Amino acid sequence: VRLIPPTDADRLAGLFSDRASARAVGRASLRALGGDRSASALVDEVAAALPDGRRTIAGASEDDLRELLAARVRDDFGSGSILDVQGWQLSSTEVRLYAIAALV
Amino acid sequence: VFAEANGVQRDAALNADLCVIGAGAAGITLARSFIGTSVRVAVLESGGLQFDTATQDLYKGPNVGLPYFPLDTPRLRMFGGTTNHWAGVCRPFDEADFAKRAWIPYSGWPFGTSEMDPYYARAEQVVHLQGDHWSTQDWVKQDTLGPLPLAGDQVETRVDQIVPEAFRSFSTDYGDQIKAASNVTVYLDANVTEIETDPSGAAVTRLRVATLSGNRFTVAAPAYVLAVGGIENPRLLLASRQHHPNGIGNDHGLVGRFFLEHPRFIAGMIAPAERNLGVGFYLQHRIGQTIIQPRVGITRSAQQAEGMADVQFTLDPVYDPALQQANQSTDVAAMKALRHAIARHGLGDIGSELSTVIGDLMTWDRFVVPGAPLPVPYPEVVGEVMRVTPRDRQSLIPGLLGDVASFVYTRMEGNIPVNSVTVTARFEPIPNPDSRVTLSTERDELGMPRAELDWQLSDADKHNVERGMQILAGAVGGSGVGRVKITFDEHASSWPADLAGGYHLMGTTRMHEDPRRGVVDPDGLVHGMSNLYIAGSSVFPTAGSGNPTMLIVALTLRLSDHLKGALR
Repeated sequence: VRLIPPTDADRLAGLFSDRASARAVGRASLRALGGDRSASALVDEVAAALPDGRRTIAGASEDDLRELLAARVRDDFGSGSILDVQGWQLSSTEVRLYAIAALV
Repeated sequence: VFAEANGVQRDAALNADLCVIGAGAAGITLARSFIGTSVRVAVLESGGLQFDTATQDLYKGPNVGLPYFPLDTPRLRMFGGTTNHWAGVCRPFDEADFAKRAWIPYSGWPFGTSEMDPYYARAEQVVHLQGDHWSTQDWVKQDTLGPLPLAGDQVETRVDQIVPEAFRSFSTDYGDQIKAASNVTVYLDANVTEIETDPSGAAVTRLRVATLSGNRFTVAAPAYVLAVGGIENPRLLLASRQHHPNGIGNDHGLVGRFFLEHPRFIAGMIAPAERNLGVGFYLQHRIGQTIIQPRVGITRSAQQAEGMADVQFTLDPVYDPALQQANQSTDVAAMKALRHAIARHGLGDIGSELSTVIGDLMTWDRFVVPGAPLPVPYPEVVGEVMRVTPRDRQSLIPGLLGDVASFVYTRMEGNIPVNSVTVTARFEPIPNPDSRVTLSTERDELGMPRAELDWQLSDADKHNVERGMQILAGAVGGSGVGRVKITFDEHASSWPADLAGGYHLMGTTRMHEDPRRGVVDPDGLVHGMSNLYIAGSSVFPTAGSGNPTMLIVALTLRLSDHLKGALR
């Protein structure tokens, strides 16, 4: 049996304890983001804001990754990088994370 | 002393040293300040000591602007005036409320807090406030509950103090004192129907008074104070046209314009990251002897940076349906229902799912503010239940039992699970000359034209609320408290259906040094008149962030000091 390592998108989606809820928010997030978004492109957008980009997503421990993303979410709210998803005011980073969860 | 206007001889010409029109918060405060002096004060009050439907009917008039309360409901035409249904909410205006803000047209009072602070200190005594300080930090230190740790420096916690219910009515508070005052005569059922002036129009010579029973007489004095509220003050000025074709004080067409309220509506909700989010701090509750009502507001620095007026938010938790139901129950089923208050409903659309997952992104700051969201029944509520008649008691008991049930639940189970938090936005409207009181073609029982209200708000007001909600969303999201949904669209053609005021009728005889920009001068004297003053919230040039009653009292105390000098 050959194990297939999880993709970066899988790692990010796996941060959510309730995948069904994350997918539900993710579907709405995809509509808010507009256009055809691939999981890979969304991962790139998330990675761009992280130190070492995709390498961090692939290699950081789950706790570290969660902390880094939480800091991004916090910064988004502080800097006004907020997207409207059905009226909900969400961080642009978390919107992408939810969208990734809906695509994987 | 009290006198019945119907007992005055018909066509009598009464005299006094000071004549006050209206016995509400302003009129009573003014009259009290002269008790024991040599000044003979005549107070002309339309109502009696008790509510009377026929008298209240004189307040009716058409609303032709934004939907507003029927004009006979936000005020009371009786001794004590609108304090008879006052909610008792107090917070003084701050320096920014009084300041001229370049980004807000028509803003700026002729004076600021340095002028008003001494009068506020006296006003606190008049309204029976238990607490004597306004520092949010001081209240937080004393409280067992705490504010949410909202992120950033664009929002702040504000704390209103609530006058205990037993002390809100000026009729109850000061009726006996007025009754015993030999130099103050309050004429009850005395409606002023016209302010008459000399031919030059610069001095009031007498007031025409009528009763609903048909009596007529006049009252003359060296000085007059008009104190009948934000709608009746302009109404009486506009209806007094003997030597002023457009009404007294209206040479520049300003009387009745700039009608202000404190508009509010539900502008959104918060999906909490934690079910047991502690929001009890934001409910009206007691610290020691003082009842407080904390709110969240946009900071003054953020308002300046954004070019916006004041916006503040009331946070109301929405509990599980079972709890809500239990709160309305009257029997042991309430307790059973509370035990099953675990379902999570009410957020709608993606809110429930969102509330589930946002906690996964908040490991940096998981927090629970401890505390019981629902207060123990206030002693005065219990006292009220015991005092009233058995019939009225029945209507009070369900609410009392609900509180008791909730209190017991919190002791047994910890915090009550919060489904969501409703965000009600209240904002300071931009002064708007098109928002106005005019005279209707309809007439009341006394033959006076009824007031007509054309309440208007602007697109700038809509933008302020929207921007305020966005700022709140950043503070809530950035702190990990939860996420905000904005349910209001500033680009919608109409205002939300639940848009309402706060029973705060302001701005219609605004204060300004320049007669072309205000109806009264900084002393409250009507521009162009030598002896007619106006008291009350109609002189407010801006609505401010605090509720008006304490400022009405403070301004009236300031006016009484001025009059004591002028009448010497």
